[in-house]
Amino acid sequence: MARDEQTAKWIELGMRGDETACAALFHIYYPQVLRLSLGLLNDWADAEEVAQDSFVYAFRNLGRYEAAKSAFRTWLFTIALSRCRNKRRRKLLELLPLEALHAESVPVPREVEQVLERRGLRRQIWQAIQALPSHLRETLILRYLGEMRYKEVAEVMQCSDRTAEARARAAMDALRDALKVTGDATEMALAELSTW
Amino acid sequence: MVSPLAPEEQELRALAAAMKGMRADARPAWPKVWARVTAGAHPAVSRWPTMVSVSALASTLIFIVHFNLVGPFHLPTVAAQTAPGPQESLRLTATQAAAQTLPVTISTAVPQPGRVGTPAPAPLPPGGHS
Repeated sequence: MARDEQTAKWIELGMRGDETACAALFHIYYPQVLRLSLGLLNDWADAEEVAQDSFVYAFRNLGRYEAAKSAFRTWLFTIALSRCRNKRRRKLLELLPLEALHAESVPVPREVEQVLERRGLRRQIWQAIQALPSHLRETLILRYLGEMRYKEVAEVMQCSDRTAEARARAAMDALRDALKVTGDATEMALAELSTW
Repeated sequence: MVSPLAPEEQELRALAAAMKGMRADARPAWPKVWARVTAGAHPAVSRWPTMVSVSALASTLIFIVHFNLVGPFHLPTVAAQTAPGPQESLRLTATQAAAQTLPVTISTAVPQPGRVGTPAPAPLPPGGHS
C-alpha cells in the first residue's frame, strides 16, 4: 500500500478515535514536526512542547483536515508554525530587544550543537538562520529542514509560490551576508590575536 | 547542465541532513500526547458536556431577560441621571426656606355662601325644608 493511501487510512481511523492509527501517524510525523519546531524556536524543550501540542490539536481536529487541499504533513506543519509563532512571540517579550537581535548572542541548543560538531558544520550557520527576520527564517526552515517544495512552503505560509521562492532567495542572500560578516570578524579577531 | 549549489546552500542541505540524524524518539512522547487527546475528551466521543453547559447557560440568560429578573440591578438610565436626585429636590433657596418658616394658619371657618372662593350651597329641592 502506498504511503499516502496508508496515511489516508490512518487518518480515517484516527477520526473515529482509533489509538493505533493515531500512534502510527505520530511516529511517522513527530520527528519532522519536532525538527521544524526546533529550527523555528531554537530551544529543545519548547520545540518538544509545541510539537506535542500540535499533535494534540491535530488529533482532536482530524475531521477538519481536507486531504484534497493539502498533504497531511503540510497541514501538520501549518499547525506547528502557528504555534511556534505564538511561542516565540511570548518568549521575545521576556527578552531584552538587543539580546534578541544580536546574532552572536543567539545560543545554540545542546542537541543542535552536537549534530553540528558531529558533521563538522559551523555553529554560525545555525546562529545566522536564527537571526534572520521571521518571515525569511520560516521560509528557509520550511524549505530546508522541512524539505518542502516552494508550493508546499507557500501553502504553509499562506502566500503565493512566487513569494515563497523570493523569500527563500532573500533569506539565502541575508544568510550569505551574515556568514561573511561573521567570517570577517573571526578573521580580524584571529589577526589581532596573532599580533600579541 | 545543473548549476553548482552556492556554498551556503550546500551548508544548509548538510545541516538539514544532519538534523535528520538527531534523536527525536516519538515513543516516550506518545503516551503523554494520547492522554491529553483523550483527557480533554475526544471530540467525536464527548462534546456533549460542553454543548449541555452552553445550552443551560443560554436558557438561564433567556429566562432572566424574559422575566426581567435583573430589574433591581439595572444601571441608571439617562433620564434617571438627568432628573434631580432626592437630596437635590430637598435643597431650598433662601427665599424658599424663609417661606417655609412662616406660620401656617388653618382656617376652621364654615364656608359662607357668596364669599369668593367658597362654593355656593346647592339649591333646596322644591317643597323642602327652608
